Amino acid sequence: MAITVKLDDLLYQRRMTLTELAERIDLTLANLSILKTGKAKAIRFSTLEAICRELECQPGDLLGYDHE
Amino acid sequence: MISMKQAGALPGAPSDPLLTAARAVITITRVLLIVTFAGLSFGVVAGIIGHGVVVTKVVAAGAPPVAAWAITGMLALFAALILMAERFLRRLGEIVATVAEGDPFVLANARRLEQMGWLVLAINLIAIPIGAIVGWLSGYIEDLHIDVGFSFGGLMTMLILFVLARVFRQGSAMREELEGTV
Repeated sequence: MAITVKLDDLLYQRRMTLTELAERIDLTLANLSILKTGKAKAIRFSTLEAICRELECQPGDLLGYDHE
Repeated sequence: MISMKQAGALPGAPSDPLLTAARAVITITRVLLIVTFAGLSFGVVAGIIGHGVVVTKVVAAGAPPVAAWAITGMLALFAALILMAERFLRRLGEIVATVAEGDPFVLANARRLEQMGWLVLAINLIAIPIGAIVGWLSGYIEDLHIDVGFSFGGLMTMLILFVLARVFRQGSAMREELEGTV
């Protein structure tokens, strides 16, 4: 998919683990892993909101679009 | 926020008393049907082997000798009907099991419902010749009271099952989409 998820980079910058983020946004680690690896088909606004809140970022920091 | 796990398995679903009751009824009925099938199969075999004896009895009752074959044929059709009813319940049991597991909106259930619809049709079609034979035999045998035949209710059941199969097909597509949502 042309949409890329930059969760790994964000977590690295914030010195936060995936498990920690999962706990903070009340999402299962399995689901967050699906998002991180780019296997998710869709993302809820509520999930996006929670991630942006915890990582203090904008949706654009998390998602990118590849122009091939 | 609903996680995927929660969306998949509805809490409390496994201990649903309706499901428990359904499972019990299905299991008991299936056992009864299998026993009935075995009995009918035995009757068919006996009717073939002991054809002469049956002929003597039907002739004594005032029926033509061919009634002996009619009885054996009716038993065979009945056995087939019972087998289909058992298959129907087996499919229903499988659907109940998926509900208990908390994930009923799968393509397999759509196929099961479709199969159940065809089975209801087949059962109703088989009931027509059985009804005809019973009707003919009751002219000779007084205490023969079996009410079989094509029923409007059966037709409606078939229609409902086919419609439900479509509903489940769409449901499983929606479920699949939800699965990739985080």
